[in-house]
Formats: sequence, C-alpha cells, structure tokens
Amino acid sequence: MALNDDALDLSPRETVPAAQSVRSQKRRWKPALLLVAILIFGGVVVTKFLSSAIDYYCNVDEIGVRSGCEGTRRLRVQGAVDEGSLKKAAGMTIFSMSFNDDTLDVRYDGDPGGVFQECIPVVAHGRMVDGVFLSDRIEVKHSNAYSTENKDRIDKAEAAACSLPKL
Amino acid sequence: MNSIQPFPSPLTTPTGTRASRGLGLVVFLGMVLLTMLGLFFTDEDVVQGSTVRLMYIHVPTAWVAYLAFIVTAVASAMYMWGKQHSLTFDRIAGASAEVGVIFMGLSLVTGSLWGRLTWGTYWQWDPRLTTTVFLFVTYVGYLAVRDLGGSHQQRAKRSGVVALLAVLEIPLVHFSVVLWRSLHQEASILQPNGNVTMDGLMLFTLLFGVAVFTLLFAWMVLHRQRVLTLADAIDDGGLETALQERRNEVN
Amino acid sequence: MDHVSFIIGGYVVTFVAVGAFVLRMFRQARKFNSAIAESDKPWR
Repeated sequence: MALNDDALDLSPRETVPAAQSVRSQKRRWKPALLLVAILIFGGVVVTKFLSSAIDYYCNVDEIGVRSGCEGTRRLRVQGAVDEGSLKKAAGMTIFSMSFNDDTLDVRYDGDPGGVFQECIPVVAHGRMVDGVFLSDRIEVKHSNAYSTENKDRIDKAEAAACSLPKL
Repeated sequence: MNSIQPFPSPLTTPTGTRASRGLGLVVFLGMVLLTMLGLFFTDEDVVQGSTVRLMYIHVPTAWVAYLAFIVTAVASAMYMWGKQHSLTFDRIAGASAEVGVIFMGLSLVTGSLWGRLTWGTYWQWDPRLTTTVFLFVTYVGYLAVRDLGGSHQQRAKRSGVVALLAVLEIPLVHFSVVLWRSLHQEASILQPNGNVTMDGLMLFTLLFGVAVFTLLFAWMVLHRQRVLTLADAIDDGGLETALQERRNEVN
Repeated sequence: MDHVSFIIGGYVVTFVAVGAFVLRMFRQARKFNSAIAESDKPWR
C-alpha cells in the first residue's frame, strides 16, 4: 500500500448518506425476516412430524390392540387388498384388506385413484363403524421393486402380488 | 459499460473456461440422452405404468441435493479448520447450498407429481416427506443466514456452523423410511442388504441420470462459486473505495 | 403413455428451474464482470 493507513481516521462517520443507510438496512432486514418465517415454518414441520409422521399408520392386526390404534378414534390403517374382494357398487369401492392374517372390511366412497388394485398394500384413512372401516381417503403404498411391463412379467407379477412380503 | 443481454450465451459467460465449456457440453448431451431414455426407450413398470418415468429425474434430483449439502458441510469444515481460512471454501459451500436447494425443491415437486399418480395424493405428512421438507427449509435458512450481512469472514463462520449442523439431517431423511412407518417406499438401490430391486434398462437409466445430474451439479457449482467470487470482489472494492476516500481527505 | 401431462410436466419443471437458475447466474456474472479487474479472476 502506498500510503501509511495508520494515520487514517477509520472511525465511522456520524452521518451516513441516506441512500446507503436505507440500502444496508434493506440488506439486513430481508434475510432476517426470511429467517423468522423459516423458523415458524420449521416449527410447523416439526409439529407435523411429531403428531403425524412418526406413527403414520396402524396395521390391520393392531386395531384395538396397539396404543394409538383404538377403534374409537380416526385411524390410518395399512394392509394388502385381498384378492377377489374388490367390488364397486353405487359409487362405493368395497374391499377387504389383510395384514398378518387379520382382515378388515373397508368401504370407500368413490374411486381410490393412484395405482389402486387387488393385492397391493394401501393405507386407508377413516373410522371403524359397526365392524366396517369407513374410509374417506386411500393411499396406495408402492413397493421399492421396479419391473418392466411385458406379458410374462405381468403374469408373474399378478401371481406374486398376493404373496407380497409383509410390510 | 457492457450491456446485459436478456439471454446470455453460456459460451460467452465471464465465468467460463475451456474446461467448463467442455463439461457443459457433456452435461447438455447427457441430459438429451437421459430424456430420450427416460421418456421413450425404457419400458413401463408393471404396476406404475408410465409414471415410473418421473423416477429418472426425481431420484437424481434428490441425490444431487444430498450431495450438494454434504459438499457444503465439507467445504465449510475446510474453511473453519483449514490453516488459510480460505474464503474460496466458503464460496463453494454457498454455491453448493444454492444448487442443493434448487434440486431439493425439484425433488419435492417431481415426487409430489409421482405421488399423485401412484399413491393417489400429492402430499402426506409421512416421515420421508416431512423430514425432506424440513431439510429443504433448513437450507433455505442457511442461505438466509449467509445473507445477514457482516464481513465475508463473519459470513463464512456463521454459515459454516449452520452447515455442519444441518448436514446431520441427511441420514435422518434417508433412513426415515426404515426408522418409521412410511408411505414412501424404501430405497431400491442403496438398501442396507445391498440388493437392487430394479430391472436392467430401468436401472441403467436411473444410474445414468444420477451421473448426468452429478456432472450438472459440478458445472453449476463451478460457475456459481466464480460468480460469488466476483460479488465478493465487488464488496471488497467498495471497502477499498471508502479507504481511498479517507486517504484523499488526509492529503 | 399415460399421464403425459404429469410426466412431461415433471421434466419441464426440472429443466426450466435449472435453466432459470443458470440464466440468472450468467446475468449476474456479466453484470459483475465489468467492475472487476482480471487479476481478481483466478480462473482466467
């Protein structure tokens, strides 16, 4: 450096030019506000995690047995759709699903969507009423296996689908 | 003064070199091939049908996001514990986090589209989805922390601490499907038992997608950290200008 | 191909988002470049 900076007065100026001041404040406030918003949203996500995600579903054989799976409350129940049980009547989808040799009759008002079919594991949301699970939402639980679609494979897959490993 | 073109060519960017242009070309051609493989050449899945085609971009975007956040943590550690405390590492960390946030967001969007077609719903607060969105939010927060102001060194230290803590979420996200009951399926490739449950060309396309997206990540971080170098140099230039003004006052 | 809009949409969203990020990055690079000396660009 050509000049001796030790002699320089480096103390902050008492008056900061207005434009510069506004700009520096803007630069600090925007990310600070964003950070506050993120913390709030992060809190919501953690709450959702603790209240919903940890025990996402009860298995069919756990209804009325496991804590949190009482038949008197709204449940998410997981099981595989039984082969030959799927019927559609008056806009309702009726089927039974099983897990660990326990079976549950399910009625869903509408068409479940997704890749819903027999032998596939599903999570049904709803309530137990007179021994039948009345569901208002059904999610299809896809496995981690991916196979190409050809005739041989379809036959094998259909044959194998009802002997899916217990999840 | 140079005029700023609305659509600057990647061939003439000031952050480009012969090597980066070569890498960019490889990435572009790889993306074209991946799109062809993913949309036209691979077969449909026996259960999902065509929906499986979304996996060829969903999985690579998720992988790149993980990789980006790990690079951010490693670069932050190298800044904090390196002898030189080189700001280059801090800029690599920042650039990598920016790219990671983009890809994590894309992973959430493409996963949501896949979920609508397969599960029958765009979103559920299940363990994998919830931890993933938390990871995404954490790194948006990391970028906000980087932008809070102060000197470059303050920025590097402050954000470095966040990066080293935030990276611990990645195993939680990856193993969430094993640790808790999840709607999301378990891994098809990175299974604890080493099994791969995917057919030939599907597996090749997926791995090819992971490779191409990894190269894209490297290319984007390379350019982005150079842009951050220019931005920091401008900030330093502003300080130098202020010092020069004081020197002029003394004289 | 079933569900074309979802599948093509997924690819389009991905490429558009990456493209937008790259475009913004290059515009910033050009904007900053003129104000910086060549000696401050170690990759040159």
